Amino acid sequence: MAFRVTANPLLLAGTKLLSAVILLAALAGVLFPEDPFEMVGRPFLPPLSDGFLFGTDTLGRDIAAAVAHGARVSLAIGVITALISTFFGVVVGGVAGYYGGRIDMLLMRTTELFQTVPAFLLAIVVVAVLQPSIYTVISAIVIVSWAPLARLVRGEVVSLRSREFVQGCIALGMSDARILFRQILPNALPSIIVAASVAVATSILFESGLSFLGLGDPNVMSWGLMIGIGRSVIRTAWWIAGIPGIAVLITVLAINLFGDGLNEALNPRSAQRNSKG
Amino acid sequence: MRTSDEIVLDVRGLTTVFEVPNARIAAVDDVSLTVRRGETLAIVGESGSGKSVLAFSIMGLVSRPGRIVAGQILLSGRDLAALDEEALRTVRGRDLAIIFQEPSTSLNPLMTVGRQVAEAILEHEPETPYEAAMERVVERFRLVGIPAPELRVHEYPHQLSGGMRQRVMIAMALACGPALLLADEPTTALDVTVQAQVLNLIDNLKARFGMAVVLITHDLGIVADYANRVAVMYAGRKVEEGPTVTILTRPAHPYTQALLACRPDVLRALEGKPLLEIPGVVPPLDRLPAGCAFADRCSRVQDICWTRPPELTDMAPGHRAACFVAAMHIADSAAS
Amino acid sequence: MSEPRHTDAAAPSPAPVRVSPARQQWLYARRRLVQGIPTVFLIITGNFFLLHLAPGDPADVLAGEAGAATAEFMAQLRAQFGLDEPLYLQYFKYLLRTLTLDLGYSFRYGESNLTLIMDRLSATLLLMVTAVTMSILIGSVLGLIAAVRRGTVVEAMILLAAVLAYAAPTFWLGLMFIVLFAIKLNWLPTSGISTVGAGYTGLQYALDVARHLILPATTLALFYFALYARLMRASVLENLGQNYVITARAKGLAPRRIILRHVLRNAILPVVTMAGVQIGGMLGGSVIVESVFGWPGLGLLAFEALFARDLNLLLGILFLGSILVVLANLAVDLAYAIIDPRVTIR
Repeated sequence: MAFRVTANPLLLAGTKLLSAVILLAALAGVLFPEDPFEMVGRPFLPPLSDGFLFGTDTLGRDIAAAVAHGARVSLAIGVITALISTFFGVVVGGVAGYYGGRIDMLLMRTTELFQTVPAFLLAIVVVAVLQPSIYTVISAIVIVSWAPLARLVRGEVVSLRSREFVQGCIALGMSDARILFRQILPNALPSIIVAASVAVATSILFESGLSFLGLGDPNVMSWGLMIGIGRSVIRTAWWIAGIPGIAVLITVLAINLFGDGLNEALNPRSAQRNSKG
Repeated sequence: MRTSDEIVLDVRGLTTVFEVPNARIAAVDDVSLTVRRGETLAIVGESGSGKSVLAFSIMGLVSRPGRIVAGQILLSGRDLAALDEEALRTVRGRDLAIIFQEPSTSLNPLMTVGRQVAEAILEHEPETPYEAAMERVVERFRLVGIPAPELRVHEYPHQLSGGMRQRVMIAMALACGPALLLADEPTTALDVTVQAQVLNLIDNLKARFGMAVVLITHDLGIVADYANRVAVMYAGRKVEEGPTVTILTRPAHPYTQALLACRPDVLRALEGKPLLEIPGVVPPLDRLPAGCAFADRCSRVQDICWTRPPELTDMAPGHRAACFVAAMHIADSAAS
Repeated sequence: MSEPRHTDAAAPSPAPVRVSPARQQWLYARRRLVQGIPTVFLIITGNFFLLHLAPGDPADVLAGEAGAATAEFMAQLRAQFGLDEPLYLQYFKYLLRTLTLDLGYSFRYGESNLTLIMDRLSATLLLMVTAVTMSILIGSVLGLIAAVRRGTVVEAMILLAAVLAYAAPTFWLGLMFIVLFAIKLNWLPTSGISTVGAGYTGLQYALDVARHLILPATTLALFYFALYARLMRASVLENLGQNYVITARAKGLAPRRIILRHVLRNAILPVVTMAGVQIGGMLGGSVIVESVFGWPGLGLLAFEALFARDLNLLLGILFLGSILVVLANLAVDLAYAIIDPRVTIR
């Protein structure tokens, strides 16, 4: 899996941007040691005001501090949900693809179902039913994002299963679990990693949407929540909603670029087919 | 039909290169050919010998990073290599046409075959009404032996068999009655039983339309049955050319001799002898040796073969080969 | 949704059995409709689970705003749902009622949930159809241009726009559109479906609705536009390398004609497939867009139900929304079958 980052401009740009966001999240506590919910200045200060780079919100909270602390939440939720979704996707897709037949049909019908139900609506209902908290938000996002991953993994497993080296293992009498985890999945790993990175971006968008509607954890400062707060004063103070949105955009953009670059580096053939013809 | 004296295609010194980073590969290198009306010229060679690029060059279908850098392609006296893309378009599909190896992918899957053939007519004869064009398509379908042509024109490629699709391709090529037909491995992708039908069809239509045919193939069996003359290509160059009988019975170039020796031979196989093969592979075109490109695979290689590329030398009237060794033999026998 | 089926291209074709194309399409539609039935059952089952997953007695959930309903209404609900009966019986009753489109009653609105949903359906359909059409049309056209103008500034600009639109959160984009086009420039209305109290009729009303539609539809379409533009570009590039394009060139067709007559139709197939897959996602996205723009559709109703904690109404919206997606997928599959003749015959 060795590849040169420098040889790939997409990956390079994505890595740089993403590093900046991660750095911001890591240093949030150092740069803005006080609680981001703390009122620290006059409300409605515009960006570039004295001491407040991004201005203040409706209650005089520092927007820059909220953006930095929000980065932690967004990245954490994005990565955690992507990991859990990928886990479910790998298990469901792996079993369906490896065993085929009825179990495959059953599992694929189930993923189809999850792809049919309007995802965001389902996420809302799940959070509403279970009461908003960071755990229910994560559960809701996992519920709506594992299905595409399962389909992808299944496709990879089906094609790998018919290859000689796997057929050889089967002939040798190796156990199913061993073949699946030692032989098939490692070979499907590049595609899974790329899909998982895209899932991080999608999860961040979902999380911000849920918090925007007031379905996030009310005790956690997040970008979506801030946009929700700024919404009612959009006529007079666009930046309260505007700046956190730019933070979401940059983060998602960074992850997407990173994912595209990773795809080119890990799956050169499919990347060429998809982006270069 | 007898071959007439009228030269339809006269290719002179054609050179097509592919410009890739750090290299300039001559896929067709200084090739000259002539084909007369009613004549079938077979171009023979292994894959990578440049025979398909040659056909694409004649059609003006070579696109980036490839381009024709030298030579003339005279079609009935008009130099196609000098035409711009716009002018070339009016000739392509009207005065010269091509059929490809893969009839299943060469047709647009979303358009009825009749329309696809009619398109060629409507493009070159815009004054023809659609109905008249379709009538001609039906007539052409009948000509190429497609049963129930009135119904078949309304079908899609996936509804036809491989052989039928290739007949559609032939009907398309013949739509405007071209002077020259290029057939690029037209039967390679077809069932053996269908191959002869398609080749016979091309042969009959050649006579009917008074065309010249360039038949590109790697199958020497086809050459024997359908070609009047044969040109053998190796690593982008024409290495031997002559009447079919001469090439198949008295080949002068060691490469041609090796090709003939390698033909899958049922008798050899029945006797349990291994099939012969030419040792080594066609050299990569960007790393050709300084001398003869075949030198390192040749069983009769001499010192001179490594020094410079051999030129085509007359072996007999109409029979030429690019080989130092063969040329020396001819010189010796002429001297004695 | 299932993949469109292709007949085996390599199979020799016997004398074709002649069935009229219209009849083939009808048979295909019916088969796909039947395939959607298990999906509907599974959605109802999922809803039933969600109802029982909620904290407290399902009757509290069903009544909407907890504590606000009258005691008689609660008792009536308990009886109707058979909450003291075994679970399988409750499930069976729930299934039966949902299948007969009895989605319950909203205490808060004083209306049956079905009536509430049906009242809002047309606005959502208008928004969805507009957004789907916009995203496919603009996405395909720009993707095509990007592929044809490969390696130029034009391609770079289109790809940049797509990458940005792909990363922007929809609701934020909507808000920024409101700031720019409605507040700063004052070109378009900020919210609603029509001007309140203007009393427009006929064409004037239609134009008024169209003006209100522009911003929400664009907001909803942008993410999908980005997706389809990238997909279309890749698809066109792949098709340009196909043998049938060489055949078309060998016929002497002009490049423009090759693109429009041959490549475009082939290249759009994956976009159509993707559009079918994405309809569910788009309907979900309309919740957020409708609530940002106060567009009185299903999404706004869901948003309102959310705040009224009217879970049963939410579940009803989820159910009918899913049915809508199943039907839309069917429509997309039919559209696909019309474009690609290889699909219907089987």
